[in-house]
Amino acid sequence: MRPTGRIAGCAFAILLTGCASFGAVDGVENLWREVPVGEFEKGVTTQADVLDRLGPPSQLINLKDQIVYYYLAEKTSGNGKIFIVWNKVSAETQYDRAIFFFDTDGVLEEFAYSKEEIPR
Amino acid sequence: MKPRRLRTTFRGLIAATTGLSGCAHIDQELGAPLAMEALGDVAEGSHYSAVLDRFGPPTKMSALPDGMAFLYEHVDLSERQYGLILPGEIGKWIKAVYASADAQVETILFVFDEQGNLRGADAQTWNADAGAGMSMTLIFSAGSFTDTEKYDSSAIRSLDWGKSLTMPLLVTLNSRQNLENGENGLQLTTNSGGIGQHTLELKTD
Repeated sequence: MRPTGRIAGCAFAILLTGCASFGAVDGVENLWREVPVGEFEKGVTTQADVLDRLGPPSQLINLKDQIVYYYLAEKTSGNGKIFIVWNKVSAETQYDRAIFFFDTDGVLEEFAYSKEEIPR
Repeated sequence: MKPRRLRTTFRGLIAATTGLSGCAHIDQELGAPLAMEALGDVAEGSHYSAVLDRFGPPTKMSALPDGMAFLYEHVDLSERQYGLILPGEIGKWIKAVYASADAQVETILFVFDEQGNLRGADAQTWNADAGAGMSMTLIFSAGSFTDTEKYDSSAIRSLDWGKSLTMPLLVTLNSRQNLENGENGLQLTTNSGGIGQHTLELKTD
């Protein structure tokens, strides 16, 4: 085979490749990332305030003398490189969380957001 | 480029591609790596707010009879697949793939007393053989051939409240021992289902 034919063969083989990308979002909307710093205040904010601002929590946990609202958003994204003899698929799942602890009167005691954040 | 050099380059390319013949690599990372080194920053007796401040909301949490527990988890799954050439005429038509998977797991557990003060904490990292499998297909595919379900189950699973009503009978009857609703204890994601309080549910498998 002539060199030009071989080069054409190589180019054709390289072109016989594909790629893919995929993604999914699950859980609640991470509205807590839009809440200005200082709006939720320990000892002042109530369960009603949090519900009004963020909606129903993903999970409601009953401790002995506390109620916990747990918010969770999940985003999975990935990509695939499909070649003739070698393939690679990578997927990453990100979690964005917020947690609120209320006392028996429904007043905010503690809250925290995850360091990991899903961009809005 | 001179023809001789071109031939050498061409042979190198062919050698490189055939050397990787029929391979696939599938990576899956669940969540962000944990700040394992920060465990030392939280002393015994610290309030749970210090843990929240340093680590953020836990992956899972549960009420305990005399306090509560936070569990943080991170799983990194890696699966490798190798295409195999079967001997004889059948090898022309059927593609065989062998796959094996490894998991790197990080966990940190915090246990608090009734006042929310840290009673104990520990962190652990380990690598596990997450399984192996083999597939024979007519065309090549890049899907997963290993059973890594117990490693890659999503944190969202605990939000499936309504699904508990459609679970197998023994699981439904055992719902008071549910480890997903945060009120009956915790279980590592990597555990198999039917252990401890859930041995009854083994009969549904």
